[in-house]
Amino acid sequence: MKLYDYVLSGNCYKIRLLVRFLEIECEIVAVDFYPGREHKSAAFLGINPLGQIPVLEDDGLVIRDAQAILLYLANKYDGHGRWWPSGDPRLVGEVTMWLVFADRITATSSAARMHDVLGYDLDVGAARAGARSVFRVLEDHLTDREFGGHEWIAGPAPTIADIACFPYTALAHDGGIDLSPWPAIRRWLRRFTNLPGFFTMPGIDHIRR
Amino acid sequence: MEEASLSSWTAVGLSAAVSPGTACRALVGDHDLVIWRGRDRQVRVWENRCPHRGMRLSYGFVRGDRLTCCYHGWTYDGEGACTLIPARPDLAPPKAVRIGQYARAEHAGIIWAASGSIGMEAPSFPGDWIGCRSIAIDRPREEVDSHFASGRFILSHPDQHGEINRIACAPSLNGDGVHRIELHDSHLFEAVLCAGQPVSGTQTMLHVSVRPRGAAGKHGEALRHVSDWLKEVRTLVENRRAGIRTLGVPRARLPHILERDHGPG
Amino acid sequence: MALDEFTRSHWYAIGRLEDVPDGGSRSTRLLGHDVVAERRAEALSIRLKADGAPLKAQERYGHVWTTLHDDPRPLYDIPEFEEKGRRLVTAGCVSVRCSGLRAVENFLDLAHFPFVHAGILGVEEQATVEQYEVEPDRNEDELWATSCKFYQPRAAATAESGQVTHYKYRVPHPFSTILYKTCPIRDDAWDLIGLFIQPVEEDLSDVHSFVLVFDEDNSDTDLLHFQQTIFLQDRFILENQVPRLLPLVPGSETPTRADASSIAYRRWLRKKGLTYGALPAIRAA
Ligand SMILES: N[C@@H](CCC(=O)N[C@@H](CS)C(=O)NCC(=O)O)C(=O)O
Ligand code: FES
Ligand SMILES: [Fe+2]
Repeated sequence: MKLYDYVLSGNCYKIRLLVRFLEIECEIVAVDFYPGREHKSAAFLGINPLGQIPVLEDDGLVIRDAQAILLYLANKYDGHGRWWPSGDPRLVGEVTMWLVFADRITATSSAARMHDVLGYDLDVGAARAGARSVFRVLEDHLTDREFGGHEWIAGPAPTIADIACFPYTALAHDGGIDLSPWPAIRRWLRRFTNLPGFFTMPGIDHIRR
Repeated sequence: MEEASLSSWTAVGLSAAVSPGTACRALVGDHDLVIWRGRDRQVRVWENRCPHRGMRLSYGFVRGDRLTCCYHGWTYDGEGACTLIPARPDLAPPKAVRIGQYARAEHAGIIWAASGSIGMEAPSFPGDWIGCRSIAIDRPREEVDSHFASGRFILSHPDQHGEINRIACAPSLNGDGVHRIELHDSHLFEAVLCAGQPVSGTQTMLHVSVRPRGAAGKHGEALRHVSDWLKEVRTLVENRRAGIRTLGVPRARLPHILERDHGPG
Repeated sequence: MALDEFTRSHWYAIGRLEDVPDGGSRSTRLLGHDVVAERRAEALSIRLKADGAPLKAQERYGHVWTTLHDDPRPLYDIPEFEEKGRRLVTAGCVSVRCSGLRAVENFLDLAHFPFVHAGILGVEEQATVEQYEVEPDRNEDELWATSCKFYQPRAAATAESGQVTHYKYRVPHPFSTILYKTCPIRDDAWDLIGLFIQPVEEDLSDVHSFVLVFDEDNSDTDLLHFQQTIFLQDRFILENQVPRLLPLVPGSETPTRADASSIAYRRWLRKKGLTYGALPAIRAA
């Protein structure tokens, strides 16, 4: 198994986290995303015509999109069905809903970060405003979950929905978004960093402390 | 936000949100605060700046009853005196190093802070309160306050027969952003306390506690009820200026708060 | 804030060579001015956007350089760029909301390794910074910190185990700094890592960095990822230091003996009359 990876990518980090949580072996192929834009090279477009990372290769199968890869890995390698509780239709619905939601976090919080860190030319005001409204939805959800005695986004234990939503929430400040208005989010981030096997990426080390 | 000088007691967080061993950040206008709690359960509110090289202490970590800065590990005791410089453990930390402190108090499940020289006792609220939630509203505190004062917020609540009653919120206790709503016939709670933190000219954090009625097993229901109400309060306050009409919540879903029938005026 | 003469008199990197390919251009900002670099028929030209006034240009150390000054001081030499067998990786530019001076000071600092780069460049159990020397060179044009050493669990992309790493630091320019560290595979050589900082505004910096090393095991991309990992860890700190500008007034922060390079750097900046990206001291006077 092979992951096309960039150390500063939150989407790639999702995959590395699940690989660690499931204790499976995966070769990391370092992609020069920045400044080299290797993901837009002809060779890489042959692997993913969308020109995006992460991409996973396993047994001749090539999968792109972080959430799709999470689903694939959990289905294939999580014998206990913990990370993807496929036996429970309600949970399948909820987890999928938050997997899709994770892409909204990418579209807003990650965009703001690309602008602030790597100088991407985009409307950072709109990206931050979008991130704030997305975080508000997550905050309200996690607050409700806590009233019911629950610690995770869906179900009684962490799922790939938590993994999918974690990185670009934890990295929000890289894009100039301070998380102090959302205390339930901050509690959830801290819980996540306490999962067995958790490791950090640059820019989120402070959450653990 | 010129007024947010912390010259009066200001809510800066829920007690439960700063659990022992954690630190977090709160903004009150130009004041950048770190709030942290040691294993001794004492909460501290300090200037959010390490005297060594200016790093925000809210990203530091709490060990025992000390706060450690995440940049070079300078460690401070509960009084804000430096006790350790890891790069030079042989060195007695300079005595002059002391972090700016704010007066702080915990009442009604809420952490209150004021500038160090305040001569007044923190507001206290009798009874057993439980922190419900903190909610960010993207409007200045004056605006949130004026909504409370107008009696426009209606809190609905069921009595013991399951009948829905509605109560209009009372004006601020003393114009300091603290609003207490007493409910005599509610089945779920006796009172709700909303305390506004003026974060900036565009944002207020409302820290909300509840005095629940009945068995502890029912508290979750009371908290969720108030939290849902707060979401509607937020929508009402934020949408008013934008000229968006607030939609009524369907009856079937146990309405919490609606603007009064005659609308936002 | 008027630009001080010392800051104005220097050359600044404004992009990698690859960022200005033939037929291409790069718009950026330097010391509060919009500038455009472009290359036509192999020739590099740089101008101010506002009035089209041409600026001096040169290509060195993998980067494109310019200056706002008509008679700038010469760009400093880095002789190691001529050495055979070294590999150059330019890591691109990372923006940071802080004065470039804060970024230089952070780069010179050993004491943060165990906390900010825990498990890579330091461990908390061995956080002691031994005494080292810091001195300006003879003309006071440069600052050097020498005989620095520090225990590191994973000093470079190449390193598999811990070692005591020896360092030298060089500040040849108020907004540039280079470190020389023990090369894990060659006893007689130093590996270089450096920052060329482009002050966009007083409190906003584009940080260009490079790695110039002897390394036979890692791909360029591995070296790049390592360098970016370290710098993004620093970036979090730099964005959270208050104030964003570097205080040059003695007494506004608390240096100790472990901060010898910071003390010397600030003293050198004061002496040179630098105000851009710094807090009062000279400004008030
Ligand atoms: N929906 C995709 C988004 C992936 C994505 O945005 N990847 C970024 C790097 S983190 C990328 O490759 N961006 C380049 C592009 O979109 O052109 C996923 O979740 O994997
Ligand atoms: S800035 Fe806090 S320890 Fe150095
Ligand atoms: Fe560093």
